[in-house]
Amino acid sequence: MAAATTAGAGAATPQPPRQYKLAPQSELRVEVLPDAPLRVRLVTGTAEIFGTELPPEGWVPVPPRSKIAIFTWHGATVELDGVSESEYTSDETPMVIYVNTHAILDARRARARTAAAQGGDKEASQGPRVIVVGPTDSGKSTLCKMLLSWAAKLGWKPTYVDLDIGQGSITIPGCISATPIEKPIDIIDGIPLEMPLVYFYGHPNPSINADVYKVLMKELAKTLEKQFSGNAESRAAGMVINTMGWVEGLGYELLLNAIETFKANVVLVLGQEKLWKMLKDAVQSKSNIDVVKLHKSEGVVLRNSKYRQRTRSFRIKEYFYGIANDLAPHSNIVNFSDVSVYKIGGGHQAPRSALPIGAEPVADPTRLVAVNISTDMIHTVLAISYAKEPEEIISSNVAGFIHVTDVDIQRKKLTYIAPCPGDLPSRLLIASSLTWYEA
Amino acid sequence: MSKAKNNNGYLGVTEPISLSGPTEKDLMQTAEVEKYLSDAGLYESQDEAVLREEVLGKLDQTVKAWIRKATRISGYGEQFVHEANAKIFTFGSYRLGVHGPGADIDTLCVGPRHATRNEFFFRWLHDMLAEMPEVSELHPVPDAHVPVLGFKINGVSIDLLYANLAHAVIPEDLDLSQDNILHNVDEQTVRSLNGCRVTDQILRLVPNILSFRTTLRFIRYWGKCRGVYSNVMGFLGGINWAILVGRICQLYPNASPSMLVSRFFRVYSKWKWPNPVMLCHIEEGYLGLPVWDPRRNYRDRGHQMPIITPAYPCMNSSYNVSVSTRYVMIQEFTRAFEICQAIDEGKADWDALFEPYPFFESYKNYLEVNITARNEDDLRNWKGWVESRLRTLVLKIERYSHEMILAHPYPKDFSDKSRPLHCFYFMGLWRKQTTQAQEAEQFDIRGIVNEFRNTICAYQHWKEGMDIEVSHVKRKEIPLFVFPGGVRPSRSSRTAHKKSRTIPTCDVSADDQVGNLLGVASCSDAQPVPCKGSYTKQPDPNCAGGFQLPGSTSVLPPSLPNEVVLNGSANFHEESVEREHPEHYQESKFATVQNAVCHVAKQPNSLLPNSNNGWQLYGSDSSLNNSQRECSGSAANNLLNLSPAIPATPDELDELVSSNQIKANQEDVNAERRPSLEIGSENNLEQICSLRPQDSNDNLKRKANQELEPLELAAPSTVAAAQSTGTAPRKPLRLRLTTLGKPKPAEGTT
Repeated sequence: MAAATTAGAGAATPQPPRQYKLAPQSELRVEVLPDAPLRVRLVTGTAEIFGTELPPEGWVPVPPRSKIAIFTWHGATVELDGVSESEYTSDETPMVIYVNTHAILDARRARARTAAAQGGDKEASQGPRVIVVGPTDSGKSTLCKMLLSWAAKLGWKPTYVDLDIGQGSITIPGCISATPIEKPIDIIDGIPLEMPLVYFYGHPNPSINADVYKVLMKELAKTLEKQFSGNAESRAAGMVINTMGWVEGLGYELLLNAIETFKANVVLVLGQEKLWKMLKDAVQSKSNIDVVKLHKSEGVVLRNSKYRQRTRSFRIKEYFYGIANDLAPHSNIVNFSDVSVYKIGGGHQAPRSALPIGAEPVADPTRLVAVNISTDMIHTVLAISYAKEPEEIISSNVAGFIHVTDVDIQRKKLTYIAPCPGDLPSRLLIASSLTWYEA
Repeated sequence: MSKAKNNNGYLGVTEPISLSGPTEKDLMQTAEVEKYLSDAGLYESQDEAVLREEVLGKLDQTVKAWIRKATRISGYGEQFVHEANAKIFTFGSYRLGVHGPGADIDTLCVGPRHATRNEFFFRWLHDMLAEMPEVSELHPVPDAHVPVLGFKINGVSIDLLYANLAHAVIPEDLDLSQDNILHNVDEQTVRSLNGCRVTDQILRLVPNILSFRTTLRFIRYWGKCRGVYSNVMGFLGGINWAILVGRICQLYPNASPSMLVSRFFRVYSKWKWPNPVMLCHIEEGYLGLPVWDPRRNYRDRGHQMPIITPAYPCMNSSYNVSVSTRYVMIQEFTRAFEICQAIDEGKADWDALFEPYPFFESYKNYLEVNITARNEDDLRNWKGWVESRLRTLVLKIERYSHEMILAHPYPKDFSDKSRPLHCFYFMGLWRKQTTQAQEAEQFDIRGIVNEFRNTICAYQHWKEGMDIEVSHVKRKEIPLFVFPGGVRPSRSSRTAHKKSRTIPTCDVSADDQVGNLLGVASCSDAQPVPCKGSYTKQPDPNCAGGFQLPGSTSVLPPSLPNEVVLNGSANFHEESVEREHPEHYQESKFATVQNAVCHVAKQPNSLLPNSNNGWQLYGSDSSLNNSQRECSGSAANNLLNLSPAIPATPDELDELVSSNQIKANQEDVNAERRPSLEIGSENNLEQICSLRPQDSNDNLKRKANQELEPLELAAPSTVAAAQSTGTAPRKPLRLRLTTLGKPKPAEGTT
């Protein structure tokens, strides 16, 4: 078997198309540059990217800034065309373990569907509710994609729940979202946006107001329960829940809260034995929860906070301009008097060490506060709430987002861009700390 | 850390006096108390409570952002920046849960060792706060005894202290009650931490927090109404009242607030000061910090009213209290206790306790302190400095007169709309009553007033235009702006009495109204010698030769009779004059300042018969003040009459007898009553001996008192106080002092 060749990292000169012959159960790992196009095609054999197969004999463009792994079960030859930041092959992957996990979940889905057909009770007809947890850069998002794509390939329609407000894989950061996955996730376009369910938290960090974050999780879970109760197929397919990488202190507390709120019955712990042990102990009184330790892939790329920040900005831009900059958002002007802007959760919470001794906080952390429109709002994202009345805002999902480009205090007009033309679906807007500056 | 609970199962240094719970009547009275406090507006609204929490949350986020910035600037790596933390804590009335509407929030920021106070707290954090639009009135005081950053966030007033710990990283669950956090920190940090440590420890040491809170709200409000709530003036501040109330809660652990209030006044009206009030035993600790111990620390011996903080290092929180202010407070406790008894008998209601103290009707003589500056900022700074030193004038008067003249400072300042950029303080003066038949000794306090002025004008941040003037005013000459609405309250009975005492003068008739008018006119005209018109023509025969000083200079043993003690005092006076003499002739940039003290002449033959025991002050032949030379012809005739009280009318005498009878029937908690300051020469002598075993120590005590700053004086002053530099003494023994014996088998009803 011919040895795989390795290209030098950070190549600056244009590279000719090059082929890689991949051994069975090995993968080619590629990091794509922000501004240089790269495409890949399958020459022989079969290969997949995060659970989605490469089509035979066709070039597939890879999105900028992507970090992908092209894996083959039975061996394949793939060809790259374009400049990359880095590319290398590896035959050390946890894919066998991952696919075995998928097989177990698939069996549970089949049992649930059978139970539903036979008129079984609610619990028996419930498919696996998988929550993927682990520290930052342990490959949680990737594992979620693979589990979802493999299930969809077999005809299931699992629900993807994204609780990671820092990244935003379904929609923009600052949201917790859910969407059904009916076919393998597209390599280029990612997760489809036809009918996502989005609750707006408004910040990339849950510590700003953990209580609001918990309330939104509860609302999302409540809505999903309603959907499941009316759709046996969705319930049997179960859900895959992605989480944040913060696994200590408040982050750990929120993990436990998520497991309980979404009634997870399978906890997949990536890359940290300590967390696995803690979670096993925490849920051992509940016999219906399996806590499984999985290895993380060595190919997972470490990302620093600056990278995350830039990724957040790009995700916001993508919402308005498209991944390939192929969409044209619409600029609109609205009178201050025609919209009402609210902030969920009021101000910051006082730490317990600063309150009167023994006193409970009197400020409701989930209260709604009207916000005066000011120039501070320029460059921020506002969410459009589906609520009919202000008091319903925290329990309502959102229709979409606008980006404020100008605030004219004198004429009392706000200028914004939106993905669709025409009037806003609602006049109730939610303020956020998410910003994006057009560069 | 001191044990919160003894092995015996009770809190405090002694067993409780009574374990009785509230009766039906107590519960009704307690409900009335709570309603009274609520109607008085002492509870903040829900909206304000929410705003405070938001402000504290905002501040918490801000200091965390600040510390990350400070850590990055210090050159640490990104991982360390990520872990860097600072925390805020509150203390004082907010943390105790007894704050009222609009109260400041006493706050402490705790940071790691690389975030130093001067470089990072007062510079970087200050700059971050300055850039926040919701922050206003940012006012740093880095030189204070307890350095503080004052500001408002969204209108809420914050006093922020800083504790620079030795930790590399401040854990989010940091426990300030652990003594080891005091290790390897500077003294400003120890003092900054004390507010939080003491506040939290008090709540650990009281058996019922809710009863404690209600009682403390009541007592604080009462103290403010009666003018005894001011640490800087020598009365008590929030932390002192909290410890006093906490002690009552320990002694009556199951009592309801109305009973606790009554017991508070009863216990402290009879307390044998200077026995200390403590919530727990004083422990030496292992860090070598000095703790309060009058057997070893000479400064602690002079404390008049020790109220010891319960967190290591235990110290006296009330070292500002003077003989005068202690006397006033005891009088107030006694008055309040009598009213509580009347309430218990259904003869009075809670309102009576809160009648505002009639300060400007209680004395015949006052000192008026008038300060001025060139602009509002200068006046604010100047005012803070002067206010913090006024108590030293009280101490000087007491020392100079051997505690025969006492001064009652009014705890608030006044402003006169007709004189912008001016500020006024007042002190009531009274003479201690004696039973001695001989004529009272006369004291000339002009020297110590000048000494006080010189000390004040040595202000480190003095600026052109800052000035102070101390004047003697009589009750009828009190300016109108001190009265509500600018109208002097009428007292018909006293007016009639006053007429018979009016002194004829060369410039005005004997008409009382004309005299009042002249006084007002003099003040408004701001003449150099406001009371010039009051001088009499006839010299006082008794003052012709000045003060007669005996020749003896020996130190007197305490067992000698009273007359000899007076001679000793006279010697002290002579020595004092000699020391003060050189200061008088030193050139000073304030040489042109006009006379600070003016005196009113009074002929001896006009004294009423019942004033025979009153003392008089008169000036010596030599002039102590340059400006006095302008009036050298009549300087020797200046007199200051300080009668301690108006003679009692027959009705008052009857009331007094009745009161005595009631008192005689009371069950006395203490084995013996502490003698009154005004009773008998023998007790007076005993007190003098016990208070000042050696004259040399007396001066040291006074100086020590003046150097010390109040524990709570964190925010208001821009004082550049001298740093207290004392070497740590040997570790003191465990101190067990108590004024209360074991409780009786059953608490008798009063």
